[in-house]
Amino acid sequence: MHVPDGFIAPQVFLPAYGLVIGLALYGFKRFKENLNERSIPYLATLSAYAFVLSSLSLPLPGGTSVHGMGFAPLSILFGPWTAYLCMCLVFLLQAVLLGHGGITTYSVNALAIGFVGSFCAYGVYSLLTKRKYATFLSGFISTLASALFMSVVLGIHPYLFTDVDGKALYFPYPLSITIPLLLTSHIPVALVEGLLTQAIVSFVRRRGFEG
Amino acid sequence: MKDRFLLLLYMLALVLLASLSSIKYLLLFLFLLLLANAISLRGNFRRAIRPPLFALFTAFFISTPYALWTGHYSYALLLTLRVLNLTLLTLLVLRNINLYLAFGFSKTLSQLLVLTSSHILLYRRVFSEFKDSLRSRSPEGPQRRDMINFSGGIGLYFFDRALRDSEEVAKAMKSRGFYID
Repeated sequence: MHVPDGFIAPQVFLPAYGLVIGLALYGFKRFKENLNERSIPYLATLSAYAFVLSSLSLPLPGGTSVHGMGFAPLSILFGPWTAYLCMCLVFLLQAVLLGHGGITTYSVNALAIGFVGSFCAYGVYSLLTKRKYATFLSGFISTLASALFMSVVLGIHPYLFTDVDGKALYFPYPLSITIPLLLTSHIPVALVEGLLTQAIVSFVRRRGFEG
Repeated sequence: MKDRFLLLLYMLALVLLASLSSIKYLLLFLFLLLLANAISLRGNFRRAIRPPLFALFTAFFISTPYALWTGHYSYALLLTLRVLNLTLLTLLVLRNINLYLAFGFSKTLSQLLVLTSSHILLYRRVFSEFKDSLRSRSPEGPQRRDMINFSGGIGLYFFDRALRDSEEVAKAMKSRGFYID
């Protein structure tokens, strides 16, 4: 789902940067409430897990790529603001260490996966908290929600940014391609994401850490 | 301070390059960036070739179906040039700034950055070791079940180990005066 550099227009990624930074500044206050000697190692380990999972990607012909994300365990255990900030950090490291996802597209990636994904994962888990499959569904639904958000952001580009000949200047495929393509390709990923979320949250709780 | 200033300049250059839609200007920037990268690398091209190749592959993969579908062949060239320029600029800047200093305005953020990146290096090494060990044990190629079992077991083991390591690193950082701000 990471979008590489060059596909997103500055008219989109610059306001998105403003939003990402504004949300991060607010989220940082909430983030610090969660930090203590015991939680930092878990945060670092789960952030590294998210890094590895979202680094293993396959490119898609209709645009972007498909990969796991790993934000749901962070969101369930530490809350959505902490997960959002950790994912912002993960994308930054991916962009600068691996060239995976770009710097210009960082803001859109952070919003789609970090913000929408983390809040959706937390929302689903909070709604279904007494149910047996709450953790699995949290990972599953939030992955699809992130994919849907990203497909809308990408799909609006050909309507907004074309030259006089009608040639696309940035991302070329419309909503009619991006939405079905990204959603269907992310269904298997969402299933794996749900299972991994269930396994990791149980593992961490078995170690006596409740978040 | 120098690192933060360079980071700011880099961000401005990225916006400029992402805004350009003229193939002529993009070619000019590409020439300048290739020159700057060649000087900065001092002949050590081998380790720097992978990111531009990956960027080219992605640009090709996305732009070619569109160019064939609509007949806008210049789109493929525009996108490839833009992606190459942005990738080469990023490579050039990353070789010349210290990211930990550039993002060192918050101690908590730095602490998390150090811990997470140390884990990432560990995980990357483990991933390549995992591939090598599985290959060496399966001369005829591993079956799918072998791969699932092996990766499940090793994943859990290293997740546990990474957790213990980060507990130790967090304590070590605290004992050296790295308090949460």
